[in-house]
Amino acid sequence: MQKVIKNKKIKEKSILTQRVSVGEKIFFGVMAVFCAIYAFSLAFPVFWLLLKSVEDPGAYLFNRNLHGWLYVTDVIHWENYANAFTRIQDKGVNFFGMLTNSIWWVGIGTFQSIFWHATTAYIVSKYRFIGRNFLYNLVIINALIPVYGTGGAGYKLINDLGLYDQGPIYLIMTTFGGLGGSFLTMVGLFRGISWEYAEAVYIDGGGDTTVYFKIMLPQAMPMLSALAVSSAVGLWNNYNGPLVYLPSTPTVASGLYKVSLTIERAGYPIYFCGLVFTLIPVMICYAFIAEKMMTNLSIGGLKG
Amino acid sequence: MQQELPHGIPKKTKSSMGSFRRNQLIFIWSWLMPPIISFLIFGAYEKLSSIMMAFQNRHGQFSFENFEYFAKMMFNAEGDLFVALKNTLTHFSVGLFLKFPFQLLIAYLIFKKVFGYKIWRYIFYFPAIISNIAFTTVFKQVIHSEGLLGDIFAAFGWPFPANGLLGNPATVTPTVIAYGMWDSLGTQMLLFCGAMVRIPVETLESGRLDGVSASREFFQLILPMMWPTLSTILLLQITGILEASGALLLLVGDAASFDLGAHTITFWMWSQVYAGGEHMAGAYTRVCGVGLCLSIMVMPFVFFVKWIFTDVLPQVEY
Repeated sequence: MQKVIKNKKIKEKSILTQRVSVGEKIFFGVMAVFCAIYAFSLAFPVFWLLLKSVEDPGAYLFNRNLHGWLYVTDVIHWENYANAFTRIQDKGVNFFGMLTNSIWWVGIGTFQSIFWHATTAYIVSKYRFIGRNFLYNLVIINALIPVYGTGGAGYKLINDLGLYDQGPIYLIMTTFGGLGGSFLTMVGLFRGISWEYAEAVYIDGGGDTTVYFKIMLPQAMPMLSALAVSSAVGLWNNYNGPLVYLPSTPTVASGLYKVSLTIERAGYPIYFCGLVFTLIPVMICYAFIAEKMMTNLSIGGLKG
Repeated sequence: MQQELPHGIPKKTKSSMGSFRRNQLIFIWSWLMPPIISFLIFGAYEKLSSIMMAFQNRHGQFSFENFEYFAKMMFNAEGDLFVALKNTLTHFSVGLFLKFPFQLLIAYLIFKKVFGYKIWRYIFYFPAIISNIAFTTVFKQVIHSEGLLGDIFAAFGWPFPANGLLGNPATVTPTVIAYGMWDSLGTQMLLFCGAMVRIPVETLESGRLDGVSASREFFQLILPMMWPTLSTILLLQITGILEASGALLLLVGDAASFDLGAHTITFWMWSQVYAGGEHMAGAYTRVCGVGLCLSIMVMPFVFFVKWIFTDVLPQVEY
């Protein structure tokens, strides 16, 4: 007679995740505690910034040491967030201006980087032509040969080309390269996409442009979106590029860095509001791509 | 016999094949041209120009003064570059021998589904997505003499450095390194976990059924089988040996890093180029000269390691 077990979920545990000996049980138990403490230490700054951003600036000035750390404001000062837009300033650009600069910095940078890397990787992975292997090996050699100190020449080059402090033009002109770090990941991605649909397009009279934009790019889009979000997060947090090359158009990251150099203690809650603003978009993006990131990414050996 | 074009397009006539291939080549090269031009300008020309500038003084005249500066500052125990190299190698060694194993351990724990791993794996990746400015701001508040750490020291009656941990030459580098450890233990987790997941599950399961312990499984099965990924990451780390640095600018500041002797090679170069934000006031040729000397010093070591990794050590394929 068949036994029916109702309302009982039977979970078969893989032998790979079973803790066989006492030693293993102790080790993984201790490690779980370590993971919990480490995770708490990483999540804590986010909550602390949120908490302190709504504190009265006057109270923050006087609440120091442990008392200050544990102090939880009884009145939430939302006006700090409104004040952040006018009080956080660098070179006459207020926080709203910094946000605007960050938006084009991230938008143009991400689009250029992903589009050109994807296009170059697609062509190298799917077409046979003279120079194909040369381009592929060039990227690998470039990654493996250590050349230091090119920053001096790079800065002079940007200046000589008239791109220094030129806002979006600087970004457009410096980010249309497709032979950087993401190239190898994208070659792997396009190699995994079947060519059969492309053949159907050719038979229907379509050309290579149709194949790329209407067949290949849409198929690669889920992975490209994850890479784009990852690139956007990197650009959003990048303070060094705008600081060195675009001093008159500070982004949120470079502007907050400059503000942090001169800030008084009483101004910290408002400064924290600025930091919270930098967290919001990346946390939203992360929520969308985290699962994909956790399952997709792996690299193999490089042969050069 | 019917010939095939690339990717299996059947050949029709000689002229139609010619026009098909011609259109294909136009497509290929018109889309490849911008990235190639970009590489030629911002990759090849920049590197070539860097080599040329190494032999120039700041006025653009031919000179060996950058190499004289390198010799003077590198082979003198109090020279800026000697201190920078010492700090860089400290950062690199800690990264390789301490941080790297811990990063592997974190990935292994997630792979072995340690209790709570579904939550931990998301949080461990926070430092890769959250602004460094936010993290360093909170870190500085924690280790401040009037912060949490200052209070803990005071409670136990331990002396706390008068200028704080980041204002004292003896504690500044260890503090920056400690921040770097805390900040990045989970950042390689995705790559390492990806490599572990690719290992055939039957291999690991049969090992466990034969009574292989977790430690033996890690050292004798998992590590050798994820060697292609490990060796690539190690090789890239070793290639960037002189780029090892910490969040010096955010934690210590530009001038203070030099005053406290905490600067690294990368930071020295950045600071020479940035020149306090003053336009075209940097020592660009000096950076190029020092960079060229360091590249020549490091290159044989990198190629030796690459040769060991690719030709001497056995390659794993499955």
